[in-house]
Amino acid sequence: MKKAKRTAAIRRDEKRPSKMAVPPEGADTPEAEIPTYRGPSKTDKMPKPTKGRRADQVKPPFESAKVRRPRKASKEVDFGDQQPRRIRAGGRSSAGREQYVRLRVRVRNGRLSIVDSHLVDGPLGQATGFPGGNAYEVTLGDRLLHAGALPDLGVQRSFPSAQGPPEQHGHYLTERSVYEFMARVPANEVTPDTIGKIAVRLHRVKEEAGADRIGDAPLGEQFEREMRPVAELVGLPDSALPEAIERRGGRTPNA
Amino acid sequence: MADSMTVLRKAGPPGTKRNIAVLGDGFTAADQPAYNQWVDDTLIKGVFGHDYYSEDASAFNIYRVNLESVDSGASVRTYDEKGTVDPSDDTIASETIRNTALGIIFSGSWSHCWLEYGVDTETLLQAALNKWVPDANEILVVLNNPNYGGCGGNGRAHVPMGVNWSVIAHEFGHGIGGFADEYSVTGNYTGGEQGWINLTTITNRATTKWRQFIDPTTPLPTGVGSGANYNQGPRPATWSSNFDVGLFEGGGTSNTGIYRPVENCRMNGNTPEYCPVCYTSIKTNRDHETGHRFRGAHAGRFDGGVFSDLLLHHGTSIQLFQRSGAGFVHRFSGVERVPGSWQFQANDEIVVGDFNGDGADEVVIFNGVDWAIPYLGLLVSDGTGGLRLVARYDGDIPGWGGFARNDRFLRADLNGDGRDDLVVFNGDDWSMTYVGLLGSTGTGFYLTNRYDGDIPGWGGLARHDELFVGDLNNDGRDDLVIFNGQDWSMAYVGLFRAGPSGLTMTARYDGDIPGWGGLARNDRLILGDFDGDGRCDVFIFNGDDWSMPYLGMFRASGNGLAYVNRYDGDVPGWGGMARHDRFFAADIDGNGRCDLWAWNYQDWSEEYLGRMISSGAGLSASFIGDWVGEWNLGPPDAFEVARFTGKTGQPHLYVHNTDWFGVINGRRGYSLDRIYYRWIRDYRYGRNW
Repeated sequence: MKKAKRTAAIRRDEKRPSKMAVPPEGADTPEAEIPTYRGPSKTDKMPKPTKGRRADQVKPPFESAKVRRPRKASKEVDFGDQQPRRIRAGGRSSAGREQYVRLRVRVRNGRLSIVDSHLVDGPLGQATGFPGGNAYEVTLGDRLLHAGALPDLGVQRSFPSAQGPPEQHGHYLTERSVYEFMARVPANEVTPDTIGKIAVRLHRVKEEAGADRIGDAPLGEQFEREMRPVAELVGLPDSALPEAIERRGGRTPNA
Repeated sequence: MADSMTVLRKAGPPGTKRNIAVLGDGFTAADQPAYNQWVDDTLIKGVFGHDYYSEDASAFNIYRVNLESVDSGASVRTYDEKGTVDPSDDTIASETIRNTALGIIFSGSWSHCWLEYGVDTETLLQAALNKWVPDANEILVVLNNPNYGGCGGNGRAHVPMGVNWSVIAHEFGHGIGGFADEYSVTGNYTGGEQGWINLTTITNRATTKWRQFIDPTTPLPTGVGSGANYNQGPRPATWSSNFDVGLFEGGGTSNTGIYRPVENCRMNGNTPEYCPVCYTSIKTNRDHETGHRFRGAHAGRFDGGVFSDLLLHHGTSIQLFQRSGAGFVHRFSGVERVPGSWQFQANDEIVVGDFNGDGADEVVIFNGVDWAIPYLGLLVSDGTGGLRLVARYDGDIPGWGGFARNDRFLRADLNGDGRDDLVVFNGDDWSMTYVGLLGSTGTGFYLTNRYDGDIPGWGGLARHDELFVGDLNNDGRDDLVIFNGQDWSMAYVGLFRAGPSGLTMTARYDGDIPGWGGLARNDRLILGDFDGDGRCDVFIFNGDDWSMPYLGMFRASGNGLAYVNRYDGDVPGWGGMARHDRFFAADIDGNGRCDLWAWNYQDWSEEYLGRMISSGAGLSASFIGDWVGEWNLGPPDAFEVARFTGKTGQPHLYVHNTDWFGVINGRRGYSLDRIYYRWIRDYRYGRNW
């Protein structure tokens, strides 16, 4: 039903009662039929506390004489950390917690290699935009596991020298022949069964790529126009298995 | 002192944020305070104290690693550059190698990137990162050297201490934003169109890269010639070199042949903010890491002005926007906590009021859910546009007998001293229902009265008592109204006058207020001075219990309520009241009488927003359906009464849902003054969607 800009036909629910009409101005107001419900009526006295509802939970008496107005602090005070709720022992097992693997990937002459891997506690978010010159992705078959932007990969940029000669008023850019980047992948995706099939792919970003939500297809499919693959590595070393990383102490606890 | 790490900003789990690791080289144990001070001044107060990085501070974790060097000062190397900038034939003229934590050598030579790694630097750096920082997307290395310089790229920036924050913000524009430089140094660009966000060769208005930010009246190109500013026609007097967008020749270090968006962006002159093109790009790409939403929006006069500013609570962070100029200006971000230590959590409940009587609003914040014990805090202005905690009550305030999960707080000036106080109610967590009155001193609260199970005359506080506050007798003190339609054999309304000794019941209505035709279970009370006599009156709406919805107006007489009007089924002009009508009290037309906003998204084929303007004795209504300007009204919308413009009243509604924020103007009908998607930014032209 749609409202219309006219005198409304009032919608009535005939199963319910109507209020009595408002008497004309100056006339005595007759007593209304008051809706009644189950339950006690109020008196002028306080009822006894209900037995069932937290019957033992009574506040200690309030002694107004003992209340002190707070004094104005003479200096800024730090009240310290608030007390976190305790997590029940065993409530969050190490096996069940979210983690991701941070892969240190080296690029040399267009070839990728895994130099190191690290385990990080916590969830892994997915970027939605890929600004700058490059992006990486980690895939398993046709499924995107994670992707990230690499805005200034492989570049060395000296800061401008405003006091120097004119040619030094910009950056001195050097393209590095060997460089590294970090790729990330959810730890639960890296298993003995998958580790040989997981691919790390480096893309050149031709123009700014992004979406409200990144799907689970490889970047090359989602951003066919904007990205071009430039290097690929298929299969991660066993040392990148989360268990192996944990064994060698390759996890930095979150502060 | 051993090596250590301090989390300077803890925005969230590292995998969901952008992580910046700061490491120092050449700082001995005795030098660590200087290093810490530099990081605080340059990164925290400098980069993250300004514009974009301040606004999106919640997207960044910042880890400061303190590495202790044996020697003080970074190693130094001097090159013989043979009079050229080509480094290939340079030779080392002299060097002083020191025993430092990372072994980086500062050269001061532009063509050698000002500094270089020693043989072990990469290994030492990786070891430090692996030991101290769970993840790092951007690494900032600070050298104990007083000079200017710096080397960036590949997600790293290395700087001596002579570099100021704006240079680092520029550098982060490359490393985090993926932006190109916008300045000109030499030559003509002859290449094709590149992927850079902020450079283009396309001068066609219909296809140029940032066309959505270019006013149709702006000539294209706008500036022609080497590193040109506006020179194609007279430059408008109001033209902003930083925020007005066109096509200006010169950028990417080339003098000509390529165009930049504005005369001067941070990617050009360092000091200005990012231009609209760069800003929008970095906001879009980092937005998912901020956790920002418009759900937790609160209006308040936080700067003490006449207009309503905006507080956004995002769960674990807050932002404060000042109503200023054309719209809103970001003034403050509190990430994880504010100074004084209030740590933000999803279930924080916020009460806005002038608790210290200074004419500006402060924030009371309560959380009974997310911590081991409930907390109550008072946040006040820090004097620089931000907020800091000045009082915190951990678990209890003396006399209340313990905060509990379902404590509910209302703002009320109970003693007429110009400072808002608090009324606290709990009907759920104890064997009886409690009401407490907390007086404000401006810097804290103290319990003045507690009512255990009853306020004399009320006949028992009960679980479903609903409390409302307003000055019912125009004595400058806010009084209390209680309604209960659930717990008794009939519905009750009680009026309680606030005085020096607490609350005194002035009237109780058992089952009816004369003229209303019977109080009922689902009556909803709305308080507001609808006749402008200085006394807060009462509207009652019921859409559930009768054959038709009813809206009543009851005037506060000082010691009771007197019938003024009743609308049966409709308020003329509203097109029929319906079950789920909801009302917000506000002086919409600014004449000193409280009116009603009406809102219904459930009972009709589309959503309706209405104004019910009070004449003092009645209401005349109007409505708008489905859209207000570009705002598509919908079920998730929430509303805050506000004053965005004008001299009187609260004619505006700040309307908000997860992704959108708008300003609806009801002064003379319905119009949309502002609309924002995902973030608040008043672009000079164009917008981010």
